[in-house]
Amino acid sequence: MADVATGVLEIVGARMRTADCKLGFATPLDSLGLSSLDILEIILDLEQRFDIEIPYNVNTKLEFDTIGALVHAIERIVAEQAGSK
Amino acid sequence: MMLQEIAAALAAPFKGDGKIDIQGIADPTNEIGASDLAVAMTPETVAALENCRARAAVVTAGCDAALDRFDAVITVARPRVALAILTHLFARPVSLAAEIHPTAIIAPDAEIAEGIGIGAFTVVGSRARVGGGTMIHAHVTIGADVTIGSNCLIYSGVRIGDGTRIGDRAILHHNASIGADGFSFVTPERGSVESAKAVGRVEVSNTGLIRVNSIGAVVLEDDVEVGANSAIDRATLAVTRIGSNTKIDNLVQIAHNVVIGENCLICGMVGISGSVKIGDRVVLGGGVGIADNVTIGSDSVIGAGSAVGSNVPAKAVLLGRPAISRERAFEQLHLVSRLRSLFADVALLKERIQVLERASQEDAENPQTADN
Repeated sequence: MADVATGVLEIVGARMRTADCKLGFATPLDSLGLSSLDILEIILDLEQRFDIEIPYNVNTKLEFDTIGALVHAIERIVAEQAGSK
Repeated sequence: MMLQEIAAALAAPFKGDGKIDIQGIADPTNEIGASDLAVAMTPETVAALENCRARAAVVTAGCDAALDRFDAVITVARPRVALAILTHLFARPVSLAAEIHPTAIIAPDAEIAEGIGIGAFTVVGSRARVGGGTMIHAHVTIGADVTIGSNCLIYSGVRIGDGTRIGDRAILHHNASIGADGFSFVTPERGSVESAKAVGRVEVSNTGLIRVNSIGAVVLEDDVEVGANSAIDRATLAVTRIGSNTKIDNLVQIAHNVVIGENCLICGMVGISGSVKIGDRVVLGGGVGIADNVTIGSDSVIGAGSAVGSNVPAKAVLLGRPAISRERAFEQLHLVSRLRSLFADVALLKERIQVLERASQEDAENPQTADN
């Protein structure tokens, strides 16, 4: 699922507010200067890109704390929801 | 000032030569002198340290930039707090002498304390009282019966209406208007707004607008700050009150009879309608609008651009137009963004149902085929 990783890096990269930061799987999401609205926009972009529905509540701590964890979460959701579309 | 004195004021550790004489503070992405302290507490400014002429820098704990080239480095834990302390240590002095300019017009019965500065063409009204250490720049108008505390800073173009009372250490920025008449009018009979609110239709037209005069006052308690071009109107009968240490940004409109508590932050372009009550430590993001007679509980945070139309409990976090809880606002944004795929799903389902219905109809018309 290399396309998931590429898509996540592209979508998160477009929203991050810190300069000179090279995104990698180990990059913590909270190091990117993202606001809560940025996170929501990322979720919406990911849903549209991969045609999935991501369970998300702004007041609940994200279950993915790094880019890598986000990629794995999206891969899992894509696999789970593949049959339902 | 010696570097070690700055580090002491910041209560922060430093490495290197504490005896370096620091003349100023500067952002290393801009022009910076050898005797300046380079303030590098963001990724951009840290990156700029590489080509920086300064001998000393202040950075955030955990900064992994190469700092060996500096003769001294201060490390701070909370960069924004450090910035606040540094900008106090190196504050730009007030460009006004502690004297009364010969062109200032001061009513003979005004009480002006010793050691205050009053700039050119400033007018101080009858029976006004100004406390010691207050600096009033040029072209300020202070109305009759105004009281201003000590050590306030009033910038050019500020207008202070009759009867306004201002505590100590207040800062009023350019062209702030304190104590203008409130925007208060009434129709002789039931008007269009009352009709619209009651039945959602305009059943009557406004036959005229009667002015309600504002004969109350404005009170700014100690340490209040009012931004440039902001307006705080005086009350109808009582006082429009801004609690101590509340900070108001530029271009904010605060209507008659509003009461705001202590330590609030009111960002730019906020509009607060008449008789609104706001608790302590409330934060209103830029462009928030609040309808008249609403109460906002203490410690609430209202996101930028929100429109508040009903009472807000304490410690609420609201967002949107109309303002709703942040959780609900985000959920709505999330669900609305899914409408496109929902419509596509519904279209697909309709198509499938039509196929099934046609098949079912054909079966009903040809039972023999169906049996086979």
